[in-house]
Amino acid sequence: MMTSLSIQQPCLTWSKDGNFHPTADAEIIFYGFLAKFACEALRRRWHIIGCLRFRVSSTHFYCLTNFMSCWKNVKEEMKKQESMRISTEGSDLLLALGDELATDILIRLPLKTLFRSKCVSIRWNRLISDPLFAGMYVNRQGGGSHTHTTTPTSFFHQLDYFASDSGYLPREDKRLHFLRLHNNAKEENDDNHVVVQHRVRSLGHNVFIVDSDKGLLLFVRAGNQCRNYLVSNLIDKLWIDLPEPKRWYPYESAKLVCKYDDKPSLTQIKFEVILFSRYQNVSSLSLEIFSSETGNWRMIVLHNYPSYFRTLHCHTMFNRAAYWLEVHADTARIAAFDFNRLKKSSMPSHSIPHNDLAIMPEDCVKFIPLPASSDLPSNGFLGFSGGLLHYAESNLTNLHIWALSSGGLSESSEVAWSLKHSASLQSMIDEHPDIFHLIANYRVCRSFGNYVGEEIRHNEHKFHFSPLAFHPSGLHLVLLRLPGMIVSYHIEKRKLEVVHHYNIEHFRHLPHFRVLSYQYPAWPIY
Amino acid sequence: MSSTKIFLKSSDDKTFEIDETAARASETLKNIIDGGCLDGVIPLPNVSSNILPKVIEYCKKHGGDNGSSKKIANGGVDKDKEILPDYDEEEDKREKVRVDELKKWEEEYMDFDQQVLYDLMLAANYLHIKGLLDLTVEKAASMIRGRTPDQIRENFNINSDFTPEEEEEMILIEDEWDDEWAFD
Repeated sequence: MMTSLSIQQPCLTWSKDGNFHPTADAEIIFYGFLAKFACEALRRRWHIIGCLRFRVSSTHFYCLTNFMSCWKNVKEEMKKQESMRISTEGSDLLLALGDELATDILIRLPLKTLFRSKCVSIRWNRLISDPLFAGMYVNRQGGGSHTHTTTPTSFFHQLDYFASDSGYLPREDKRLHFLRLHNNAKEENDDNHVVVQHRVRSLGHNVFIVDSDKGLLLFVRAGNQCRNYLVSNLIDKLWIDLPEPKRWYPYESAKLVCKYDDKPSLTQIKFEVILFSRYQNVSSLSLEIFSSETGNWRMIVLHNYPSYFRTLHCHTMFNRAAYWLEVHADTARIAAFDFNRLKKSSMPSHSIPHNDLAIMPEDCVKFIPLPASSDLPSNGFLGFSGGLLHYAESNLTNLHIWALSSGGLSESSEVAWSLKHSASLQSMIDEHPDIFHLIANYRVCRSFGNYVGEEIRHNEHKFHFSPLAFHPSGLHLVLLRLPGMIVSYHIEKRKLEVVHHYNIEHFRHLPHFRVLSYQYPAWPIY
Repeated sequence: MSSTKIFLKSSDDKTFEIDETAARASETLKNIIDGGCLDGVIPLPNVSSNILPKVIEYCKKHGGDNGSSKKIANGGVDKDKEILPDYDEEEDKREKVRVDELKKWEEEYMDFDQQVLYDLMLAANYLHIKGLLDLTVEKAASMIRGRTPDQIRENFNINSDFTPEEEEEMILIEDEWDDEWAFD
């Protein structure tokens, strides 16, 4: 329902005795309350059309004076709006536009520009620092859920800290690398990328990336017989130093779990760091958990862990459950560790004094068989993509990727893998002669160094496509390792692109490298 | 398609003509038309005569053609369609030509100075023309993106109104986002 009002210049004259007198034919006049209404209408930008007509007798002077004062307000209001439209020269753009439009503009800026722009003026600072604005910004970026396909994602590449054979490497080769995906113009333009790249370059050689979750990164600073864990988002300068864990084991793996409440609290994020270890006793699995809420580590041990594999391959976490590959000779399975069961069980996990040991129930761990057609699990890779557990494997002729559609940690005992993608290596070689030329060159260099790569020993012409990482938001991109390089593989286009070259001079044999995906935080203040 | 003419009056009392179908690109005008309040001329006290023709030009291009305006608002190409393998290629090509043509038109249309940009943004906001508002706001954002605070102040004639102490504090914040920092 439209309410229509029109304001026209009332026919009033200003007489010499200082009083208002309506002209004889004054017919379009508002009562004071109507004028007030008009002011309100203007303020709220109602659409003022049409008119209301009142005939006012000359006796209603009190109404008129009232009206005139209000009319003045109306005119001022109109003038203000006028100036907004016409004279922005020499005044603040955002001031002229009003808060609503200004916010609409600011919300489209990347974080770096936004945070620097706080210094432009008091008003800009106020708009950007408003927690409501932060909430709107996060929502626009996909709401902190980080499953949105547009969440900017990048990949890091570094020596696997937990693989123990890296001690001999020159410093430079231990450094963290930032992998640039060439095809993604949108991410190229994002200056978050630039910030992160800068900061990655300035990290010390003894800082290793260990895990990432929802925009936070877990690092470890390696020292002599000690390890300090640190948490950061790399976007701002905040580093959270964790206290030293209680125990120290070489066969270890660390995971970071960020906890968002339903409404992400932007001023403080809760996180847990979980260390998994198989060292103390091969038939036990021990955990140390750091919680940002208590600021302490606590230990939990599972005795009678039914496995003798010490290393945790492709250790990954999703929805409070950890998964890893257990490979031995030609048999393999996936171990799934359910943290929810840990909580559900009678054990009061939260009330345990932090340096006490607690025993966890055995049904925390479940084993999932690999897809039936898997034939080379030693070359397998496990990871999450788009919220589903994926398993990829490459033999000498094909690359296969499966997704776990049911089973896993759910109650149903039937484990169902579905084949999501299959690619023939021969056809990839045919389609990308340039890349395979590079590989051939690389091999020539390697064999001049009196070293024949493992792959070559097996077969002169063939090699594996070792899967290194899935894109976290969906199975459209997979990173693969080829001899001497890392390539991105676009599943729909079946296209390979080189994203990183190993420095062949240095490596007698290729140590354990890992690639970690990182989704930028929607808002950096944690 | 009906071609009822509607008359719009700018703040400086100039009258412009627009087709009803084109006018419907504006939520505000649409409400007025549907609300039956149409009484000859619609006065627009917030839009001046140098901006109104520009607005009408946009409405003519996008009015009664919701499909394409939506596509532009979504950033041009419909990405889902590239993924589907059985997608009709002919249709795809036609769509692409149409989107390209619209993009080109928009590029030419958006070629104006800052002053017009603000006025157009306010007019689009006032008249609730979502596509036009998106275009103008995006353009304004692109003028800020990647700039330093000094450049922004210069570009938009903004005076820093911080007190000297505040200023110092703000410079610290700025530096934090500026320099490379060393970890060790």
